[in-house]
Amino acid sequence: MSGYEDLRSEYLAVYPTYERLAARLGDLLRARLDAAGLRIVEVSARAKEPDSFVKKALRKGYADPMQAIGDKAGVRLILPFARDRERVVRTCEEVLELSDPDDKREVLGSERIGYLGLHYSAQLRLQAVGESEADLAGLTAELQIHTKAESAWATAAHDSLYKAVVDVPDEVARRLYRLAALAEIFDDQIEQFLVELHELPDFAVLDAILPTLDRRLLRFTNRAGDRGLSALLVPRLAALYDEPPPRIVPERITPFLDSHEGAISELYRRHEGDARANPLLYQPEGLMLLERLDLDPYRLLGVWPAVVDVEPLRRLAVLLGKRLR
Amino acid sequence: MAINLRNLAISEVVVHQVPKRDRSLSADAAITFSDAAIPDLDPTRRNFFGERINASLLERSFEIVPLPGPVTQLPPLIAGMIADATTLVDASKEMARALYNAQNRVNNPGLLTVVTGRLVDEPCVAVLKLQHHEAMQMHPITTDEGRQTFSATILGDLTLTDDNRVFKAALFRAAGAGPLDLEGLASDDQRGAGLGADLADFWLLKFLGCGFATAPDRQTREFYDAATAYFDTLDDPEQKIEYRRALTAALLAPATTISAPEFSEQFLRDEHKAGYDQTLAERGVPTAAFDKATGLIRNQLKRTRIITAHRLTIAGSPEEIEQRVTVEEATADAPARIIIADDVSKVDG
Repeated sequence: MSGYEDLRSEYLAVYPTYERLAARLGDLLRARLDAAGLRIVEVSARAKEPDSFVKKALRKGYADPMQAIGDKAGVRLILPFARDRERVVRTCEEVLELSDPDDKREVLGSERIGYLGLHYSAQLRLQAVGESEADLAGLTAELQIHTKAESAWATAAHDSLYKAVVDVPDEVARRLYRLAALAEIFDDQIEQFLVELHELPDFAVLDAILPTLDRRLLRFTNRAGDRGLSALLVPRLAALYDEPPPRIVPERITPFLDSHEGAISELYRRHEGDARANPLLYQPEGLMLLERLDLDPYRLLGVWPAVVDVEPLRRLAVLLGKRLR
Repeated sequence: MAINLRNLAISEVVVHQVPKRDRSLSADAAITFSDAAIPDLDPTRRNFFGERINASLLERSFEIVPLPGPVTQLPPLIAGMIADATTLVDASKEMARALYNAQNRVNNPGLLTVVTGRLVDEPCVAVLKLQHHEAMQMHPITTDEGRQTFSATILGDLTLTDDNRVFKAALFRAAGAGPLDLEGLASDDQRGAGLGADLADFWLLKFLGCGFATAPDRQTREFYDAATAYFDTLDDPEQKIEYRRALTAALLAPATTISAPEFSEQFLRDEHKAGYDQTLAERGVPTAAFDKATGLIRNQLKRTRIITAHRLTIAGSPEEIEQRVTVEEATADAPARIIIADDVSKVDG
């Protein structure tokens, strides 16, 4: 048997384990990111196909390809906003041992443009998977973290430049690299937009309340709320509390939810599969409504936005044994 | 303890069609019985039933308990169903017979609907009388000539809709270990929902075999005491007097019944409603409606007293106080002023 066939056989022997590792990593990170309120992060995971593994070994000429090729399993996280990168890394570290950080931005320095992304070697923490999957905990995978703009450029560059069958002249390749600069500018402009957005009064209210409620809602349902509706309702509901917005959730909503956790879980369980289920139940601010309807329902109608149908609010009140007039 | 409708979960529902009473027909000959509960009740339909029951009982309900005796078959049948939900179909057939026999020729035909479920962790039973009603369904269509218009179809067999108000309902749970230890809520949407609406005798007494849970005069006094206790916590003297006047007027009005939430909705400002609810709840005043009986608070209602911080007292009939006494709020420079527009006729002491 040739070296090529030996290598292929050797990799095929471990390939199912790396497939399991990739799937487990994908599921685990999806759940952790959701729980951390980072549902907007896209997660994809794969084990390296045997053909790709062998070709990479041949192309790179590794002495020990099994050891040298670190992305036998790989997970890619794509973030809408660069500002979430640090939180995403911290969330990943809850379940992964991360090492060998490779920030392509640092490699490029100030005078060059090109592929951007943050890579790590990652191993599952044993406590994250349990003894039954202990065989996965010792294996290494590659974790890649990109913004959407970085990912778009990387995909285009990979598909066109690196797969080109001929040497690409510099002046032709520059067309692609100029786009890498655009990707950087795109992320910078988005960041500047977010900074200015956070300075708007209603957004500050939303930002103080919604992320925590988003995370709490996940205890009851996986259905995602409508952000536009939240933007209409949250500032109005926040006006019903004496506390400033940053204190509303920790001081009013969380204690209420903690003391009614069982009943609220039962409420959501009862509505699984209900085609008429009240849409407000699946909004993060629905948790504020549960608290207000229980403790002081009377001022809700007064602050309800005219552009939002009031009928779901009335139905929610009935569901909770309250009457709104 | 007051029944809280916050977590009503529906398990099974059985329906029997009970026609208008015809003395020439026995109950068994007249009624169309079901031999089984509604099959494959999915979450959508379960929750729909639950919401409609809640909506009806929240609109206006009374706290009820079985009358001693019992005076009808219903209480033991309901207690049996709460203890063992598998008796639902057979027991509900007995209820259908009882409803048929309790009705007279004036009472409308309807669908007796018996529901088992849970209120938080306790088993409960709901008994509903539903009636068919009509609606017009309209759909956009294109005529043979290609013109746009609408079709109009009369649907005559609608029973339970979002806006359905024709609905008698009762909900029971166990209140002890005895065979008749039940407590419940009952409502009758056909009798109206304003202050003073009450339950049809045939529904409450002749069919359910129940009466009000608390003697009306005691319940009226408890409500009066709790409401005035809350009014006394307010800082604004004018507001206190206004609320007391409203309470007196509501209790002396011709309507035969009243409920704490309806009073709140009609007379209290939004910012006072939560405090009022809390005070009434702390004193165990139910949110359900009750028969007014003012015998135990007759003197309080005849006479309104204003007592000042320095123990001066102004007393008189509510009407005279309202017409002749004005309270001006305190300012930064001066205390509150009470103005009595009247002549001095006598000074004692």
